[in-house]
Amino acid sequence: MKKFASMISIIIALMMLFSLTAFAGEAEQDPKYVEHMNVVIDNTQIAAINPIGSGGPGSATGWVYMMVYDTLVAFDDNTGEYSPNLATSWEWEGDDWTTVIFHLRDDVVFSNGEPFTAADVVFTIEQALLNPGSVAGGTYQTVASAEALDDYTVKLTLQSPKPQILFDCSSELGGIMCKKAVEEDPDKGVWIGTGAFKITDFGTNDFVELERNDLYWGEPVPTKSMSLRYIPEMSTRLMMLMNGEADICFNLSEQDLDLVMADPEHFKTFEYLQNNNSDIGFNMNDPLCGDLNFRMAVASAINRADIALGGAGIYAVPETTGTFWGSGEAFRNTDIPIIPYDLEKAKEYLAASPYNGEEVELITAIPTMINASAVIQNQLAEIGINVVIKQTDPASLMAACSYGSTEYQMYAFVGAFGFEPYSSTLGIFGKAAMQNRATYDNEEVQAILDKAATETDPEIQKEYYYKIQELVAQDIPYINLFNMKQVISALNSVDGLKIANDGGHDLRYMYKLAE
Amino acid sequence: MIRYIIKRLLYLIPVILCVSFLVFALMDLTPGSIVDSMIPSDATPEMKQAILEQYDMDKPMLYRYAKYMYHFVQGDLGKSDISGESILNMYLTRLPNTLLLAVTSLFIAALLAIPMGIRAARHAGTLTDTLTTVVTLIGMSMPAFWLGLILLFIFSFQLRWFPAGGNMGFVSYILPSVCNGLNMMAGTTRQTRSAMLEVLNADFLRTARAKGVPERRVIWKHALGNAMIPILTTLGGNLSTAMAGSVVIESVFAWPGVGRLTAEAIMSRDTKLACGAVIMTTILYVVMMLLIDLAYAFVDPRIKARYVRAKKVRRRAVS
Amino acid sequence: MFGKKKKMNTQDQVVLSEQHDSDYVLEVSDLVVHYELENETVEAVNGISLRLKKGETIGLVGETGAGKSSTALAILNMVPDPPGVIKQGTILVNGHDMLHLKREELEKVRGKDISIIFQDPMTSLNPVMTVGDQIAESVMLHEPVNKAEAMERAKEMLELVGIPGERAGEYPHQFSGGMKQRVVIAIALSCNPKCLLADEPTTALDVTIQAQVLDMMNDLKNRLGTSLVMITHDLGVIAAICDTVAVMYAGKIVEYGTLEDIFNHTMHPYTEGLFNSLPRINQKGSKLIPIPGLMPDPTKLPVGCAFEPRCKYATAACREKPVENRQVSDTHTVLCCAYEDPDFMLDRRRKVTDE
Repeated sequence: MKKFASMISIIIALMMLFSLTAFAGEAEQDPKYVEHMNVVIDNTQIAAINPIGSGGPGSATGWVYMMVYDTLVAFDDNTGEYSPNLATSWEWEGDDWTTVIFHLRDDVVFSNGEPFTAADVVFTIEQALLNPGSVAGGTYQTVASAEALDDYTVKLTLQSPKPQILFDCSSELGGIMCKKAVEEDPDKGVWIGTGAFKITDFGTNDFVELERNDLYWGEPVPTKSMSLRYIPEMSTRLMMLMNGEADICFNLSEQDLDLVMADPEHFKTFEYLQNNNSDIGFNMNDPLCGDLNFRMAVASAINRADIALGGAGIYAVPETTGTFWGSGEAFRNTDIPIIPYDLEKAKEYLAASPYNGEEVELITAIPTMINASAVIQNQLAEIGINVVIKQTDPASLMAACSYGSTEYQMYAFVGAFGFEPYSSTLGIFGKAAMQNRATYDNEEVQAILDKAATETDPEIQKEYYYKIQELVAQDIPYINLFNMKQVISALNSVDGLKIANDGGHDLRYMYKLAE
Repeated sequence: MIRYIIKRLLYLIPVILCVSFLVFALMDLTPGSIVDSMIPSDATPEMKQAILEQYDMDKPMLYRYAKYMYHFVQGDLGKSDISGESILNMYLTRLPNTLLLAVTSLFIAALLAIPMGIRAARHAGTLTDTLTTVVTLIGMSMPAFWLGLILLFIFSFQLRWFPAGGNMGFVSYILPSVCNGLNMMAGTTRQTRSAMLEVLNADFLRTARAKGVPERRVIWKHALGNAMIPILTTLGGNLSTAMAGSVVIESVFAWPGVGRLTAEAIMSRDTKLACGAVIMTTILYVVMMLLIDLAYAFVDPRIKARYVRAKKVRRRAVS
Repeated sequence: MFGKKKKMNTQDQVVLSEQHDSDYVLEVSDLVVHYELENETVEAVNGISLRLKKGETIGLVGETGAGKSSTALAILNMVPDPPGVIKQGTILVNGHDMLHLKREELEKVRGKDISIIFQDPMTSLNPVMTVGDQIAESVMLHEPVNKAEAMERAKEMLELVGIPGERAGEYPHQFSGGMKQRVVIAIALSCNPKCLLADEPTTALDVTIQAQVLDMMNDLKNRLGTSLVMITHDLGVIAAICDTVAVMYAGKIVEYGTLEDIFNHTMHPYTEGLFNSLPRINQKGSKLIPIPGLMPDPTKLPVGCAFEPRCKYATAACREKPVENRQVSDTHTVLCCAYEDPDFMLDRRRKVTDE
């Protein structure tokens, strides 16, 4: 009975919370914009809002972090340039790229009214270092120590030379938290940031309720409150958009998108090409796949247009160059020619390889790549390669193929590219790096990477990264297939969404026009 | 009676041990672990090692299991590795959703199934009976996923009567409850029919009719009262299953319940959360089954007598 | 279900039934009950007529399958349908035409004007209701009382049948067979019915209990002035309590008369057979003489006398034409064509005359 009573009280409490969020806040609202927006998100659900206590964020978690927390510096994905944010300026001490000093803004307050100081930056980074598995822990992993020189000056000492620390400091995953709030309430205090929005309610893997932070130091945002809800089922998401329960909706199925696009009077779409490449990779340590002729044979025998079509229809855009580089990443070498589709050549290469008609195992996960793999299997069968497809889930695939050890001969998956070229390149081509699923190990690439690590001159960087792309294209440990075109559907009156090709969209200035 | 309850609850201990060990073992056998999603793509080997150590992933599964159970026996279900939240809290915030859905759908199922079952039994062999059988067969074989989408399409999309996204007050209970209830209904109708068929020829119904009891009361009080045990078993089984949460229904109707919590924990390889959720569900399930057993005693005095007699005999033995 | 309004109706009904001024509490004439199965018809009751005065007891005697129970069910209009059909006949219970009453009216007559005690007390009580509730239910259905009053009445009824009133809260499984039958009797008598049907009320009981229950029934019947239809295959029971006896065979009454008529002036060969198959305590060493053969298949009853194949007096004439009912005296009728021969006499009668 007691249990039942407490259950009822929980329900009542929840209902009250909902009603509170509905009526809270009385600040003036630009009549041009609708006060509240409903955002429907997909399986990149928000498991936690706690940069220093939780790991493995989906991309939607990043959106919320960007809305709630601010970073020390800002990074422009397209130009690759850094600009001030919470830090007005920064300088490197010495020339070994291990000590950097940030000068902070002195006019910023947290959403709870606490002033923002250097102590908060030091606190955030120290907490992150205590939890290496947390998202902030990953972001600040190369920091050795953080020190407040005065109220508005912070010195970071790094474990190793790393000019890219600026990029880390621009990541929303390393947003600055309020020391006092976290110390007072370790659970909800972590929700306090200096960002444009503040969190009013949160249900794990379910919803986030956000409200405009009226103390925000930056340009005021047009929408007073937003709720992000996780709707697992695609068709349900579509119906919510069509019903008007949702203003903007992420990740619809292809058929559902056709419905949305068929009604341009009411709906619009935001489209972008994903930075990540859908690719196949070879286990370079395998006697067969380690053979260049075999890889050339495969590369010449595949027809990307058909694979893209089979993989995700019109939402897959076939790769047109021979480089293996993020589609929106800086220093992309588009001059590298693609290996042409030529079955005769492919057969010649195959004859020169040690292949004897045995089964070649290809591991794959996620629906598009599973579909694409079937096409690849057929295409390779034409030159006589007998591919056996093994399906698994993403977590298993990543566990089986990472850190330069791969249990399978080939894989078909999606390579995660970042926008900071050094980290991105190191993660994929570096020896025994996490995403080096091909177990690729080229001394020359490694040597250039070592030099690129501390290079900040864009001209020289370009030279290095172009060279790396050329070398990789010769070795073909990976064959890029296509990039996914992502479509976000919304009501026609919605705009202001800032798209990022890696999925780290900026929802802060999103608005919905009043009728 | 108390002793019986305690005995039944004690069975929970081996069950929990088995279930939790199975969760740990299976999660360990599945490729991929929680730390895979945490290690950044540019992580240094030291960093990787630090993360592995933070989550004890460098140690064997048995160590992690023993550590988990050590905390568990002290009443601490631990914190989720991914969200860092208390597992008990996470479970308890979602449990009311699941419980409410379970209860409302059970209500709908019972409300439909019992009259339908009775009708089919009273008109056994006629067209009514055949129609009922057809309806229940359709109900049984219709996947909840499909039924859910159809319901959404008709009532939410076409008619705009209910919201498509769940958990928004009273109206959003209706569609998932109906969907869940229709699935439960099928089995219960069949069970009601066969239980009633057995009872309908009983002599005591003749006695009741002979003393002038109206036919409606003969069926609903005298006959149903005696057919209640198998019906209760089916309904109870349905309720227990529903309390474990249905991933499908919870996904289609965007309903944040414990089923999805468990499934999402497994997907993200959050072993502790998965184990905690499974343990909680196990406890709930066992307690629910116990409650159903006890409910038999209220429905059938002969079963109640068994508990009471056992108690009397024991008392006598003591004195 | 038990609203005040209904009770008012019940009272109207009571007033209505009291206006009936016939001498007879129960009048059955030419009753035919068939069970129509898919490919055959069981002719269970084939033209039965009975009359019962207030306070009188009639015994319905015969072998299993003679149609006794079907007759009882038909009187209450409770023949299970399908497959049972009352093909023809009229049944008047306290003036109510049972075959033409509406269902609601029928429900008011049952239990109030006429009630029944079934054969097996083990299964006749609802196992999930207390015995008190089961008695009180009947009271509440037919009389304008509230629940507490009905329960009080139930306790009184229990006391009346020899069970302590405080056991009203117990369930049937807590009672022995004999006690259960007492409860069943209490239910049946709870509303003071004009007529009580007892369908082999003691068959399922221990012999020692049988006499107790029978005595009690007899006593109650006399005390309450209830008319009784006693259905049994036990002539001893008949001798103990009946005023009139109807001997049934294959759905027909083959001999009908007062107790004296049947026992001392036995006319029908079948009745004789029943007597012969009784053990006689005063004649040690005498053999039981069973009736040879079996009852005819009720789906294929012969045109002539149904008892003919088992009858030692049978002639060719018995087989060929339907038997006519023969009035032997004012109170005594017999269904046997042997009496077309005026000299015909049963062995039993002859022996008596000889002695």
